[in-house]
Amino acid sequence: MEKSRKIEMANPVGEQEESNLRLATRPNSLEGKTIGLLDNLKPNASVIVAQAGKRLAERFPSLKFIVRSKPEQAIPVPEAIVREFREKCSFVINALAD
Amino acid sequence: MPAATFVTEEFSTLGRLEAEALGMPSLPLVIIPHPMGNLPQEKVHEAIDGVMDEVLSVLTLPSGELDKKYRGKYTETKKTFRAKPLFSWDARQEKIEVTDSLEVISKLVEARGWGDGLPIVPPTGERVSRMLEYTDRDRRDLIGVIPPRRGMATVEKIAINAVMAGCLPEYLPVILTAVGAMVEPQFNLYGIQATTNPVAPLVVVNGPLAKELDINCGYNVFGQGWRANATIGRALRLILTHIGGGVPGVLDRATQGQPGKYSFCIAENEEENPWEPLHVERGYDPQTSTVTVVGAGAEHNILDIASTTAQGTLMTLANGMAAMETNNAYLGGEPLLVICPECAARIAQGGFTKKEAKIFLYENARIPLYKFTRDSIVSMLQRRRPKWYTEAGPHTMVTIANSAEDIMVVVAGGAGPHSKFVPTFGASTKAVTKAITLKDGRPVGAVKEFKTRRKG
Repeated sequence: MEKSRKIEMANPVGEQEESNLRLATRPNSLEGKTIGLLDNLKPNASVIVAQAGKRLAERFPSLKFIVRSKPEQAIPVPEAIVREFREKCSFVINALAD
Repeated sequence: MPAATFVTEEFSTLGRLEAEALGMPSLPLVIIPHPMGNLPQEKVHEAIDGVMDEVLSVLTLPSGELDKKYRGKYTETKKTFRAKPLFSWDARQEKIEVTDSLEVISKLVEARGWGDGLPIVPPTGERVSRMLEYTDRDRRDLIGVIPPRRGMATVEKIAINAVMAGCLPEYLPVILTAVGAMVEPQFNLYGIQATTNPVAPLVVVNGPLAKELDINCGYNVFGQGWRANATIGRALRLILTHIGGGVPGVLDRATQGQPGKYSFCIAENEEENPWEPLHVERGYDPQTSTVTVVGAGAEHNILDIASTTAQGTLMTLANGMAAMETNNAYLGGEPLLVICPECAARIAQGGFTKKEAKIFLYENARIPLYKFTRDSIVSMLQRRRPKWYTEAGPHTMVTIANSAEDIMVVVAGGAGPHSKFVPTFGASTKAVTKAITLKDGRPVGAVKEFKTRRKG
């Protein structure tokens, strides 16, 4: 026979760390801007971001590009690359996961 | 900075959940078909050409419009059903009232997407309090933030999961130390949690506490039979699931996984180790108990039944380690060899120190480049280990580590001729060793020292 006695269990789920980020404001136009193309080292990631860059360059011939790769696929983007993109680029195009 | 992020459809739920966990729920994700990695370039070009209007809008639309378009946007595939319970996890609910019935509790756990598929021990207040007797830390102390969900692993949350796993309270110090080790940046827990690789944290315990807590280091060391091994490893998996969000197929994307994801905990067989044990090699006093966490794949058995010499055994082990399609071959890193006591004894009797054994293994656990496929050579060896293989010819011998020192050696197991090659996640993770200590950093000689020093 099933018991009807109640117990209380503690919740194993951890509270999430708070983070307050906002979407970056987009400039009005891509003309004359620099775009960072980031390769996450997964197969064809470089092809994906390069193709996106190529098509954008066709529409906006004044665009410039900085191409960088993560040194390892399964780590966060190194601070040095983030800093470089922040200093020199107005946009970034990247790829996530496999 | 404005970004357009490509993600394939299969990983779009992962991407959206990660973005939410990072506090960016409206991160624009441009979804493309899956898979992409093994397509010829022209097919990749086609796929990207098909979404260029969306890419342009992501780079130019006002934030408010992007927020409306991308916040909470999930693609429904038949495989995302497991994500639905994860969306409703609410950490603010401190207590869950439930009928005291194993069947009812099991149904609740399953419905919430919790657990590992096995029955759990209900974490009642009384059980959690008893568990907390074995730490001198405050229950609200934060040990670390577990990715990718960024859940906060407080002492109390860790204790709750340890109860669910079936741990004795005496095991809590080992678990707290292991969690502290896993969140060290060089371990790269985020990469290990979210990857398609079957990697799982393997816990290796050294020092007097291993014996006191009866953590198996002998026969069947990677198998069943010891409560400590089974439940300590299980507690870590439950922590990675409930606090880190590592739900299979959702934020844990292991393609096939491995049995070590149920539980992966051993002790080193220090009594039968002819060399310095792992923790001493890594700078600790022999009488200090430690936990080492290793980003470990599924282990591969090596049979050495015929060797009569040290060199024969070392060569056999090296042959077993020369595994081509592993992260260590493609990425380097710290491959692990768990040598059985008989093989270790034979090697040591041949005059090899541990350091010399590692040099032998490094020099002989190699694969000729010509055995790899053309795509693997170009996309993996030359792209991921360019320093070593950009100029390589077909007869270059590919190593499984970048140096002899990077090979990890542990002695464990009972009598018999079987050892284990444990490939690891590769260069993006480094094993971390931490001492099991009181809050003030002093190592303990016996686990009861935690109980006598605990705070309320």
